[in-house]
Amino acid sequence: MNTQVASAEPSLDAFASLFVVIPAYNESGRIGAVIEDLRHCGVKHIVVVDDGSADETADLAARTNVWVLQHIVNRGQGAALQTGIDFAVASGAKIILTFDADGQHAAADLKRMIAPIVNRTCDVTLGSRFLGRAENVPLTRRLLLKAAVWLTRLTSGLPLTDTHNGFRAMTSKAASMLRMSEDGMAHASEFLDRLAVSKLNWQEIPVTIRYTDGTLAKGQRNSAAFRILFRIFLSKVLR
Amino acid sequence: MIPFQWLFGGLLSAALAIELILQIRHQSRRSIGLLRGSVWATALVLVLYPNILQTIAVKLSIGRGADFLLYMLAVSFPTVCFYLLHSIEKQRQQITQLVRALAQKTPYHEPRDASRSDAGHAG
Repeated sequence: MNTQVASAEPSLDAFASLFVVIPAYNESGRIGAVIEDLRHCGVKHIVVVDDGSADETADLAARTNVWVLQHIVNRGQGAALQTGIDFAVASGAKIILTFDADGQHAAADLKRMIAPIVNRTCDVTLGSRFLGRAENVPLTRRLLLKAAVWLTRLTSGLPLTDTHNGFRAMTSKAASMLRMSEDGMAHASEFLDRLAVSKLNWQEIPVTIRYTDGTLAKGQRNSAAFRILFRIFLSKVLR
Repeated sequence: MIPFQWLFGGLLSAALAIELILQIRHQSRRSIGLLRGSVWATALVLVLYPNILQTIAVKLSIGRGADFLLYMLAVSFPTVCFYLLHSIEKQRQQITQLVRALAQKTPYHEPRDASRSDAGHAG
């Protein structure tokens, strides 16, 4: 499978069994708006995983009447995602969508993300900012992301256009097959490695990524790429 | 014996004696005690009889005892590093599992209008 634009709109039934997992760390300034956007799109089940935030992320999320799970200590985005995914699977989710808490994803893309899964044309959809739109992305970040794409192509063999995009959707069966053990940002590479060997059908969907000053200030530094590389190396050596 | 041998020989003998006492009192695991004890004993023998290292080095065609020690360290350092990394990695995964289990067992907040099995029935 590869890149295509999804077709038909998913039915209301699809939303009944859709769980959106949002890993959040110190996102008190943005989590409310992100949940609000998802609600407007018709999402019923939202699981916010507060990854040991020092601010009021968990309280603010709780006020919006969603599931809030809390890591008592910070474990990283990969760990938080897996906690939410496990919870969603155990709660009876049929489709699981992962969504960033910093508002860089557009909730309007959600229907396109889940449509191929609802239509059973694939098991996993991966958002791609390079097929869609990447707004306000600094040049250095763009180059790093392109380098990550080439590295992933080399290591996993997947012909992807965007690798470190947290906007993904999958069936619960796929979620169970693609469990991640990486706690930090290297989970994205681990997820794709597992996807490559799983033989599950996947598809890239054009999405919009919107970087704001706040997103860039809080987000990963470019130097984090070296840490991610080291983690990928370690996981391959120690596993 | 030179002062160095008196000093370090004494320290290593004391470490060996403590290890022995711990074993007799069952205050230390036997495997750990054996490993630690053998390290102290080897170090003690080499401090008291430094020529042993030189003899081994000559027999292995390395030349000097100091070079033999260096080669041994070059082999053991990465081994110890990988062992420690593996242990840290295992502990990291265990901590995450614990944190995850706590988070899932006692959700911080449950939505008023939905139970965990809602989706399963609705879908």
